[in-house]
Amino acid sequence: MGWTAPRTWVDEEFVDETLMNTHIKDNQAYLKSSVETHKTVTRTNATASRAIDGTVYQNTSGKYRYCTITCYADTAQVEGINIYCDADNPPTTLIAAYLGIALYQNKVVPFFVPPGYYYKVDYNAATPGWGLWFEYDLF
Amino acid sequence: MGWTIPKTWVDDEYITDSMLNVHIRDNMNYLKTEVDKHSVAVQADVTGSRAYTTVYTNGSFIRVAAITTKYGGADSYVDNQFFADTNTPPSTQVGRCMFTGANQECTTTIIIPPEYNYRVTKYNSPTISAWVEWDLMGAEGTPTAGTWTTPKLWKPREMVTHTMMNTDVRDNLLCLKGLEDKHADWEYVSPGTSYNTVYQNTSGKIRFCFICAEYATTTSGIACYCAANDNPTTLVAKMIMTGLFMRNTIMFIIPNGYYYKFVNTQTPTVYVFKYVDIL
Repeated sequence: MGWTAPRTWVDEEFVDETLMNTHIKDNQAYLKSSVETHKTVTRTNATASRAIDGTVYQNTSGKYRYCTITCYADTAQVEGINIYCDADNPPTTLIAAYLGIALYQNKVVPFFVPPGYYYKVDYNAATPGWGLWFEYDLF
Repeated sequence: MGWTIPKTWVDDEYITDSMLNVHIRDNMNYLKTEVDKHSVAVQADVTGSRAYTTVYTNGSFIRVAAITTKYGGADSYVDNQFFADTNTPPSTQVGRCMFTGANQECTTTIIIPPEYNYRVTKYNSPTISAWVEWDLMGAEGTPTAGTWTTPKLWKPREMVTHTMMNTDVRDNLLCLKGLEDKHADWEYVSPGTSYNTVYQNTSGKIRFCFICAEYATTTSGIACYCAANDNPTTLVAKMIMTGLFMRNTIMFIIPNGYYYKFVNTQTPTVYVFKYVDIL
């Protein structure tokens, strides 16, 4: 049940079950559900469905998305990623980065994607190795 | 008082004070308490009570763990691997932090869903220099005022006026809805920030802070401190880089009302310094 703007009650009116259920019971249930939803987190191992090639993704979950990518320089001494995120498609605002200077120095790169925002991950210098891309949809 | 599934009201029933107290007053109070928890992040410095390999179990709240590991240089390389899921021990790897150069340090921040197990394993001899956890919505919040009125205690056989219904029901429902909607607001900020200056999160929200920096001309990095007092000494995140072009990003949380500061080793180039205030 959705939210109904609570009615303004007036004196001497006949309060029937519909009024009580719509404006009190259903609205309370709506708020309870909303409160409970905030306590949840959905974790997705997105490694297989994401790429470090500039592909643009959008957070359409309606929630805050916290992402972590584990990457490392695997063939060259200098390899890394740049992460862009904003309300535009394609996004151009740099929000996080990693640049390795020695082989296999794995690091977790965290970034945050607000609801509705676009994000993309591009390589820097050369495509690094990477293996773990997790997304957590929060609240 | 806890939550009671709101009753379905029926026509021609005699509404008692007990019904109104349980289904309106108590439920309203419950919802207000829960809504006020949303902006709370309970910070715990658990550095002294956490260790490699041991399995820890999260409670019923969303937990953010910032684990800072260090490589002293005694080995050819060191490795830290982070696992979290509902298995014992957890087997889903969610992150990895490896060092091949001596005297480096970096924070790995992971999210642990409620009831999940988590642990950190190592190869060779890295050390844990800081382990800080935040439980989100993990405690009573500061009551937000707004248009909230403490719900009345309904009495037997009293005449229910429209004022009572508007104040205790309509206005309080609108207040709760407004607070819920406010939790969907967020703000991405790129502040101008100086080292060794104490700041305070006065946003009323939980602050997620991100810093991306690059090695300067010699060993360089940033340490982040955060605490409830205005001289924060609790290390919550850190990056120390020892090689040309090395660039890392770290993240930590600043609870509402908490103080924080950044301390630099040399002067790394900061590419991104952003925070987002949510809930």
